[in-house]
Amino acid sequence: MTETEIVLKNVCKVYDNGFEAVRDVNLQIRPKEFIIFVGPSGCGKSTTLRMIAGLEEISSGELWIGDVLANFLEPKERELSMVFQNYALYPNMSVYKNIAFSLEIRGVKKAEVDKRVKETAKLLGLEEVLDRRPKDLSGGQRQRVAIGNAIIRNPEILLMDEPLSNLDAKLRGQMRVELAKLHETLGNTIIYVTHDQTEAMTLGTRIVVMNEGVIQQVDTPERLYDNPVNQFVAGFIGSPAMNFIDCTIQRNAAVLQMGIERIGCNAKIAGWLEDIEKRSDLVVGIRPEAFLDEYRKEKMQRDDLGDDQKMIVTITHRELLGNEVLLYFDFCGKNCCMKASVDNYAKAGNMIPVWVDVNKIHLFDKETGKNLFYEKNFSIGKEKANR
Amino acid sequence: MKSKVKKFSVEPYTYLIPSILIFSIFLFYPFFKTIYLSLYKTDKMGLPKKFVGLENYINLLTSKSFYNSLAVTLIFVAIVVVGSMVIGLAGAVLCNKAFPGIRIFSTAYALPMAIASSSAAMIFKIMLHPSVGILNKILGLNINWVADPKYALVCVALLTAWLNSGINFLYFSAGLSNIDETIYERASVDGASEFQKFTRLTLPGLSPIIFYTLVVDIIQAFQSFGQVKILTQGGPGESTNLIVYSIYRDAFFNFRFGSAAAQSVVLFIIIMALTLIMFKVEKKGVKY
Amino acid sequence: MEQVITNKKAIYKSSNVDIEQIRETMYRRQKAVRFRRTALRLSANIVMALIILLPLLYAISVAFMPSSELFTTELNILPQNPTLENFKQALAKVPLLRFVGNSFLVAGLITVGQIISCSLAAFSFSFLDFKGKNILFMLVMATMMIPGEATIISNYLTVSSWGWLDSYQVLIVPYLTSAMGIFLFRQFYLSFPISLYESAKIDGCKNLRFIVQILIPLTKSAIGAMAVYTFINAWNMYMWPLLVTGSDTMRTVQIGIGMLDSVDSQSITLMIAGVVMIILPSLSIFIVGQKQLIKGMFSGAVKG
Repeated sequence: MTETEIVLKNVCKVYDNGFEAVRDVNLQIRPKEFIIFVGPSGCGKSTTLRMIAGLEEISSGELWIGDVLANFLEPKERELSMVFQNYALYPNMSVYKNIAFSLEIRGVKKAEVDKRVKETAKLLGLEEVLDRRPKDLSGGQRQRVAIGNAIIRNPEILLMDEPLSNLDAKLRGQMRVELAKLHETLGNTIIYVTHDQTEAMTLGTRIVVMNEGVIQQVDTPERLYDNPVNQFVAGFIGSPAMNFIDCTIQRNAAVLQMGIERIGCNAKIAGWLEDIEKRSDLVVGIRPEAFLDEYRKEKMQRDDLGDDQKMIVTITHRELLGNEVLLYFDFCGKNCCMKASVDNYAKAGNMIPVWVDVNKIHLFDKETGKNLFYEKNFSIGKEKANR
Repeated sequence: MKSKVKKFSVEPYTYLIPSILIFSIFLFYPFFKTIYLSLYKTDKMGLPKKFVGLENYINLLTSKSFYNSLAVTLIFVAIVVVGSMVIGLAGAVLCNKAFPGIRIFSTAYALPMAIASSSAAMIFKIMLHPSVGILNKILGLNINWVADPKYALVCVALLTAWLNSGINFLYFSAGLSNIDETIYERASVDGASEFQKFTRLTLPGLSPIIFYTLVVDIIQAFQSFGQVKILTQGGPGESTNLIVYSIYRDAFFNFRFGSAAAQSVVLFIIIMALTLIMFKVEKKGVKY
Repeated sequence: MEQVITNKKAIYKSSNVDIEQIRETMYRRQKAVRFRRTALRLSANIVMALIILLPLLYAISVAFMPSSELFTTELNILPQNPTLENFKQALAKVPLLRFVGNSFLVAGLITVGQIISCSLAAFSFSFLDFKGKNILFMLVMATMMIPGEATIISNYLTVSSWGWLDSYQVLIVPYLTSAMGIFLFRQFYLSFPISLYESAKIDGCKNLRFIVQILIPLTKSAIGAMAVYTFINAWNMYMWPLLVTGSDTMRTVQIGIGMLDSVDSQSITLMIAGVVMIILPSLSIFIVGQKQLIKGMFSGAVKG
């Protein structure tokens, strides 16, 4: 049903006090997309959403909703709906009235409103609580009412501003699944803001990573993970976060020098390194799972990793997550984290061998943060997607 | 704390002594004494002379003047309460969003609460003066406002509404700032107009505070005295003879303390009944 | 694709429209709308404020008018020849300064007395445990239901039998406590965790010391609100002082000003000058303390 495309062209937001909340955002949101804005608090993601909703003025740039330049439309003229972070339920109205509100003020006939409210309530499992007031509901129910109000008009575009952040962890997981289902059922465009990268990774068809008012990268979850454009995205996406270690590469040697430790590269990486100017101000990014302990190395049959990739580290801390173990160790002045097999019983103080999976390393320019392997890692993402 | 064996201690009571003492001497004792007095005929010094049972009350309930004063009081209270709430609400809504000069305006709207009823009455006396008053001059009329039974009550009531509007403004402002700002944003996205937002969100959101203010305002309006004393002395005729003024006149001009005491009891009963009724209504009616 | 412009707001995509230009116009229009909204709000406020303040502004204006100027049939809003004569004469005609002094004394002592008695009672009601606590508290709250006028006759008879008429104590003593004050302070104290009190107890702090050194500094905003509210109400008291004071030496301002309220219409300006003078103290206290009053009194009242 949805054919409306949203386009943001050079959109900026400058507040009266001169603060630039959003800088030069360019983005094309395709119909039926579940697009997620993610970033640390204050990165401008909510502001961008509110500009799309019409709750904030757009300082400069163009916002196109379908064929219409929407910059100057009132929120209600944009024909979209929104779920707010605190749900913004009307405290004086019952759940029924809350869900029906947007239809009622549009003068939709009572019978029609009733039918649609009942349908929506059924979809969201709210039939039992229609007569209650918001204050008598649990957090999860409130969340559903807010969603119910937003979807009853069957809007082409649904905006969500951190809708799950007020729920506890278990409920959040549940709602995540339901939201994904809902998107499948309704088939509308969802623009979703969150600061939680897990939420972004599990829900989005595409993710927009923002920092300090600027879009860093727009990509699918898989490609964001495997192919981050810069050190910020690499550090923000993934949990536990990527380890960053200062390093240098020397002329004519396919070796990453990290402090006293040297990691030899395989032929592929060596080829990539050849294109890079030899210098010392680099940062290597290694995800926790790109460190292999002996058990995982064996399990994955990574015989290609040899002594060149091996180092001996002293464990500082051990964290059991159930089916896997996180081990922490100090390396080049940084406390690094690795994923290990549950068979690995290494405790704090133990010294164990660790291999670096050089195929999965990232290399960043320390000054600009740019990922020097960006275009090159491209293929890895594809490989994974095909699997 | 709880598990400790409680010893009896006089200390907690000592902190209450000043307050309880004052309440006992100047509130509870006179309250019961008023009931007692209302059953007696008194002499000029207010000493009970002869037990007459309910005679004072019967006299009241058969007196035209008393019914007049009841009716006048009710009209007066209605005008005052509606007037002061409308003014207070209008001010609060006007100062709801930030704009240049908001502090000056909100001070202006709250200001009447700092003014004494007697001072205000004197100012109004001049404003309503038939020949030099500004009201007649602005409106181009020639009405003797306070000497005309048609207008006197309305004038006193509007003056009182003005006096009481200040505190109402503060209450409503506090109530408005307590309404979650995001529900208005949601309403914008939902498609509500400014008017719909006001009637469907603002007013219901304010309803608890409106109700509370209503109760306080009614009780306060019943007790208005200074403005009547200075502006109209209950006249012309008995058109502004509010109950409190009638009590004052009976006791301190006619020296009929028994009758005045009976009226005081009636006043108390009315106020108590109204308060109880309203809290009953609130439990059913005010939704929040 | 649709052709150019339709309604005043929407612009449709089109190959031959100069987006830049349209956007410029729209921004200008948007700014104009915003400006108009602010202007509308501002002018509505100015009108409202003028209506609310009209009595006061008019009083100030009349107070500076020579009495001859008042008696014209023309609309005389501002004094043509402003004069201080009215103030001088008002002060000469009645002992206004004495009245002001009396009122300050009475209102000041009532304020201090209420703050002390109410905070003591509220402390006991909220931190201590004793027999009959709930009943006593209900009793205190019930006093709010008794209108002062219902007891004023008996009170008058009581104080006159004590021979207290026409004295300072008769103006002050009956008002040395208030149920509202106790309620307000208790609300504030209840928002503190009981552990605050318990830890002070463990440190060996006596109750009175706890009140003075811990509770009072913590409740400054409530005390400030109470002080402003009580002072203004005491300053504006009318009925009770009217009944119990007779002589010039004991009169408070609200009663004393009535002496200027004479039938002699020539003295209207004089009377208004007097009124302006006695409004000033309560008004200035209100303006200075307004923020405090709102912070201490209304933030709690609305939630409660």
